[in-house]
Amino acid sequence: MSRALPADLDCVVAVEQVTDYLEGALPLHARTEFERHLVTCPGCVIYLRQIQAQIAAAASLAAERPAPEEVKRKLLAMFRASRGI
Amino acid sequence: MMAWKFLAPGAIAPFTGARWPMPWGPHAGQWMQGRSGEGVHACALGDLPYWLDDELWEVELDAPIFRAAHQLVAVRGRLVTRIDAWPGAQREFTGACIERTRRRVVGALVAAGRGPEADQIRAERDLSALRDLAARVADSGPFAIGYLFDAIRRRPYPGLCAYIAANAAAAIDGQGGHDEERGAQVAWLADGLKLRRSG
Repeated sequence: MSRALPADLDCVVAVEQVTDYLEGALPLHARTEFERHLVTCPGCVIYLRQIQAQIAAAASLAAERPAPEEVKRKLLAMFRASRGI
Repeated sequence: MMAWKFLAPGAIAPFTGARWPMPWGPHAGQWMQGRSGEGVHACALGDLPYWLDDELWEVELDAPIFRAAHQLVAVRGRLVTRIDAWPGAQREFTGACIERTRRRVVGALVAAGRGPEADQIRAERDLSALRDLAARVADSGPFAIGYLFDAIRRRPYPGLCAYIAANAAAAIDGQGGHDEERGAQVAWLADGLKLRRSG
């Protein structure tokens, strides 16, 4: 049987959007879809809470020190490779 | 404009964690603005089943107000009064969602020529037994019966239970069934919680 409704946001996409959501970077439509998903997904609410707790814990650590340029370059290269870009 | 808003316990926005100032005595809470100029979000009556949470508040929204998908967005808003009947009425609300899903599932079984199973589903009064019966029938028949199992299993989460009921209606009766089910949920909340329909 085909779906009677448009597909809802799934958990994989929601997890990808968590940091954008917390930074206020999602446009209104995407933010609404994300929050509607949370209303229906207790698992993703737990994931969101974990990320919020991590951010709060990181904020209480010692003062931020800039990463060396070489480390930044390697991290960016690893990230791009993981995304195929 | 008056509208409604679901919040987590303590008048806290359930996902951002923003704390809404509570009313004090006869006075409304202080005005709350959204972060980074995003505005605050609230519900008209028809939006309520999409945002169920532990506390329901009547809120006042300040113009300009515009409509987005399943919500209202305003520059600022403030809490006016708590709807005391919620969350005490949650079990009654989810029970109504389950009963409507049961009726739809029974109709689907009859249409599929599975009258004896339809009779069993119709007659079972114990919710746990109904859940297990729905799972057994779903294993051997039309997949839409599984929605009844899910709706009962997810009863502790009203937003999810309502969503499952709406999806069951869509699976059995298409978009019209979905809209009818969401409409029934709105009507239940408006009548059961005595919400003013002008919002």
